[in-house]
Amino acid sequence: MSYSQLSLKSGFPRATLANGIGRYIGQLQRVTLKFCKNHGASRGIRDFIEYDLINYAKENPGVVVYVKPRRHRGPVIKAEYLNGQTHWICCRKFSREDIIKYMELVRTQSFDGSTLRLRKFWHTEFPSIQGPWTPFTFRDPKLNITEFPNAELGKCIKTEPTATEEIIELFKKQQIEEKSIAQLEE
Amino acid sequence: MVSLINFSRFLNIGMQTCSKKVDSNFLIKQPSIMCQTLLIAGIRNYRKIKGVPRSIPWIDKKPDYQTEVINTTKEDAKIAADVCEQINEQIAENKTGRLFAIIHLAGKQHKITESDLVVVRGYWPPQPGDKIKLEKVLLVGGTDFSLIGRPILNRELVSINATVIDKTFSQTITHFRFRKRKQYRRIHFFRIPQTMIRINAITLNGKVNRKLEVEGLDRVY
Repeated sequence: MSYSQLSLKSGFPRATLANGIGRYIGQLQRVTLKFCKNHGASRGIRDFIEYDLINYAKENPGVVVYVKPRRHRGPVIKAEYLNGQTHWICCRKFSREDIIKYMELVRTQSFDGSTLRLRKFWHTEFPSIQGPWTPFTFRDPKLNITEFPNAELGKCIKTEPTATEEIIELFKKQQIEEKSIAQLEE
Repeated sequence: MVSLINFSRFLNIGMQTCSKKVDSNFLIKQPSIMCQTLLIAGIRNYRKIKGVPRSIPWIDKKPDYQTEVINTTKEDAKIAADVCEQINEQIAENKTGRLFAIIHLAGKQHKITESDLVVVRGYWPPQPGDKIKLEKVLLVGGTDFSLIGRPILNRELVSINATVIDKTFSQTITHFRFRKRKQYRRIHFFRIPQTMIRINAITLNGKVNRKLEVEGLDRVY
C-alpha cells in the first residue's frame, strides 16, 4: 500500500460531538441534488428523483434534501455534514443504481473518507487500566533490594560459543567420526 | 548394502590421498568449512542465553496434551477460591473500576474500554445506528484482576455493547504493477470500506467461577 500522495491529509479516528455515547445521530445535515432537465449526463439523477427521492427523504427525517435544476450543467451531489465539512460528488453519466449507492454513502458517513488517511484504527481516552508496561514489570521483586553495580547481573550475556568451546566440540565430533570409521572397518 | 559401505570407504581413501597431494593452504581452510556445517546442523545450540525471561512465569504455557497434568493441592485450590471470592465481592459491590477487554472482531483483536472508537476495515454488514453485542471476548480486566478466556469467556458472564456510528470508505489506494522491458504496467485504484464503532459498555454479569444449572437461555428464540 502506498502513501505517496503527499497532498493527502492524514488523521486519527474521531467522532463528532461524542456521537454514539448517548445515542447515534446521523451526521448528514443536508444534501443537494443538482442536475439538468435536458442533458443525458443527468439521466441517472433524474431517474433517482423520479423513483427514489421521496422514499429517501421519508426514511431520513434528519436530512434536508434540496433539488436544484440548472440548465446545461453537469449533475452533482453536494452533501453537508454536521461537522461543517462539505462533500462534492460529480455524477456525470451515473446510472440510477450508482446514484442510490452514493446517496447511501453520503447518509452513512460523517466525513468524506477519500480526503483523510487514517493513521490509527483505534481511539481511546484511557490508554492503560492496569498501568503501562515498564522494564520492571513482571521482574523478580528481589531486584528492589539488590545493590548496584552487581557482578552477577552486570555480567555480559554471551550468546555465541567461545573459541575454546568450538575446538572442544570439533574434537568431540572428530572422535565420534573416527570411532564410526573404525567400527565400519572392523 | 555391503557394497555401498565399501564404496564409501573407497571414496574416503580417495579423499585422503587427494588431500595429501594438494598444498597446505587447502588443509588450513578446512576447519572453517567444518564450522559452517556445524552451524547448519545446529550444534551451536549448546550455549543458550540464561537469565533472560522468555515468558511470563505465572501464565501457563500452551498445554501439551502428551504431558500429565499434575494434581493441584488443597492449598492451591483454596488460594484459587479465595481469589475468585475477592473478584466476586468487587463485582457485587460494583468496585471493579473501569474494565477493559480484548475482543475478536472481524478477524482482528482489539483492546477496548468504555467509550473507545474502533475502525473495522473491510466488508462488514452492520449499518450506522445499529446496536451490537460483541460476544467473542478473549479477556476482561479491571485494575485488580484479569479474566482470561479459554479461548473466549462465557458470553453470559460478560456483555459488551457497541454502536455503529460511521460507515465510509478509505482514501483511494493505488496499486501499481510494472515489469521493466516487458511492456507491462497496470494501475488499480481501490478504497477499503471502513466502519467505525463506539464501545458503549463493558459489564460483568453474575459471578466468576460459578457453574450455572442452565446456560444459553438467551439464545432460545
